[in-house]
Amino acid sequence: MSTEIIGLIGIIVVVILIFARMWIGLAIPLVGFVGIVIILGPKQAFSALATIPFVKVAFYPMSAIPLFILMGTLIANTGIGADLYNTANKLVGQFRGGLAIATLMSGAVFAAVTGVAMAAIAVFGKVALPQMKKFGYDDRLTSGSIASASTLAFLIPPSLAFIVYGIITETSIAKLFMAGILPGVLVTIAYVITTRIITARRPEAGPAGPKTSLKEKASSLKHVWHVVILFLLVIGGIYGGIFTPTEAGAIGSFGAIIITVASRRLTSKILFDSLKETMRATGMIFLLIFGAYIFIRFLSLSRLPFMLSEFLVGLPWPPMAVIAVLVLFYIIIGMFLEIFSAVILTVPIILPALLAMGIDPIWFGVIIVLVINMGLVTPPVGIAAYMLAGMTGVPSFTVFRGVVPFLIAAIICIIILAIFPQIALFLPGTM
Amino acid sequence: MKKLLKIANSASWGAALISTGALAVMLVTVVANVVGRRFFHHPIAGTTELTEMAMICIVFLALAWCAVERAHISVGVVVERFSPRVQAIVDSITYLAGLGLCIIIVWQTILKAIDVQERGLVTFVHKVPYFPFYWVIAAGFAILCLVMVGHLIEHLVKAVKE
Repeated sequence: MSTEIIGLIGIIVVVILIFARMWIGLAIPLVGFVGIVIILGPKQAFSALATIPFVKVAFYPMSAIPLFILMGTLIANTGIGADLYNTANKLVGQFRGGLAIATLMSGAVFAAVTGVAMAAIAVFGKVALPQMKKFGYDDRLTSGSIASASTLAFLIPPSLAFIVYGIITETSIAKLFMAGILPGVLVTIAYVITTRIITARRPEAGPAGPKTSLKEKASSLKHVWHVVILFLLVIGGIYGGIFTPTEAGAIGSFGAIIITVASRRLTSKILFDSLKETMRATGMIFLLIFGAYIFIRFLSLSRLPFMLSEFLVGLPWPPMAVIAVLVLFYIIIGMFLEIFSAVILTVPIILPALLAMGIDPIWFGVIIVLVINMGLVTPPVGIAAYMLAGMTGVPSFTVFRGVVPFLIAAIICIIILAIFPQIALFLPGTM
Repeated sequence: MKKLLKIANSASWGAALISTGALAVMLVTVVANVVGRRFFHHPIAGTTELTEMAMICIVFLALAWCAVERAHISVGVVVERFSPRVQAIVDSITYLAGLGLCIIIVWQTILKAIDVQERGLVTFVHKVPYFPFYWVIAAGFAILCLVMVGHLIEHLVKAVKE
């Protein structure tokens, strides 16, 4: 049996184990281990299990992951997200669909200081949803806007998805962060336009909220200084070359602690809870990463990614047609796997093909994060949608219906990014 | 059974506390290094290796706590369509397979720790021995095994009772 066939069987077994509800973080190293045993023998496989955990985790850039998680949980748990929503609400809430637009705007700003979508769901499900219900918004627009706003966290830096993608593909995390900014703004604008279209066609879906004076609007801005400072500190520091993205995680966490202490929001209970959440998320992500490296070793030995690369490069298709097929593939993958598993499992397989076709891995990183993000809110495994449904009592089917217009907007953004890759690549190019 | 779960939970909680401590040390070290380098032209020597060793403690001592909190990622969309008994049987099989892998990791990491100790390998700047960190990895996976044994027994009981 050729090694490529062994690699293919390995991938099929991984899919079976994942659908058998095995922890993904153990399913992939298990198959990787058995695969290495078959190809190279038990000695090499045992050696991989003994060395990979140490070598891959004791790697300086990895430290950004727990530190950015801590920064995000501190911000989410201290009520700063709620303040952002209230400010956005005062600025645009008085317009038709304004409360949903406020959710999207504050979601984008919140994403600029947190790296995971679930924190945004928790914050905006609690804060924005009661307001929208109070003003008679329909459940579809309410849940669709909250769920869509949460997905911005993975696109707008600091994004944990970009850190994991950068580490796995050995691409500059600083450049990936910068590449996410303008597409993040583009997607936010597209979501706002979507809300305007929905409320123009069905005004009863999002009635105007309470009017606020110019003075109230101006005064509400004082509640966003925390986020502005933290964003400028972290992203400005990386862009200006003052510190690396790895160090930015520590600076961001430290900054979040100082800011929340200064604004008298950080209690010992919140700090303790934030640390507990950080440990939980760290354990979850790193079991996946450790498993991925063993699986990658097996896949490299099987030569399957190289065979796939030769096949894709040999196709008489333009690279954009291949990208279109990959986007469809990732939409399907995103329906079943959350973003970290999807990136870790698939990118090592297709990366050689992308590089051979001359596709920029930074641009592709932005595209797949945007595509896999869609899976967060689509059935059958739309984690963000289910979480929102569980928190709010809105049926999950209603949430799924509510996100459809926003998904169409996201697909339009992907097409725009394919036609104008400079939107993603301009800022990294200036570094 | 209850005693085993209690021991597993206590051990994973203790490990998570050490992990949290390591996170705090790493945070302070990296911030002090950036501040020292930018403002005093005096970075902290060996920050990279200190961070890397802290990462070993942070990551591997958090694995079991994450399992106690049932936060490791799995996809239940297919299995959930079957009866509780079939679910328990499938979970028992996958847990057993995962447990087997973790036991091999513990065994191989201990052998590696002994090997690294005998060879006297140390970090570049502070000459910190590497071998205790291999023991940390082994301990982290060993506690994870304990938690998994507890979960496995739960699934087996469910498979028999349902």
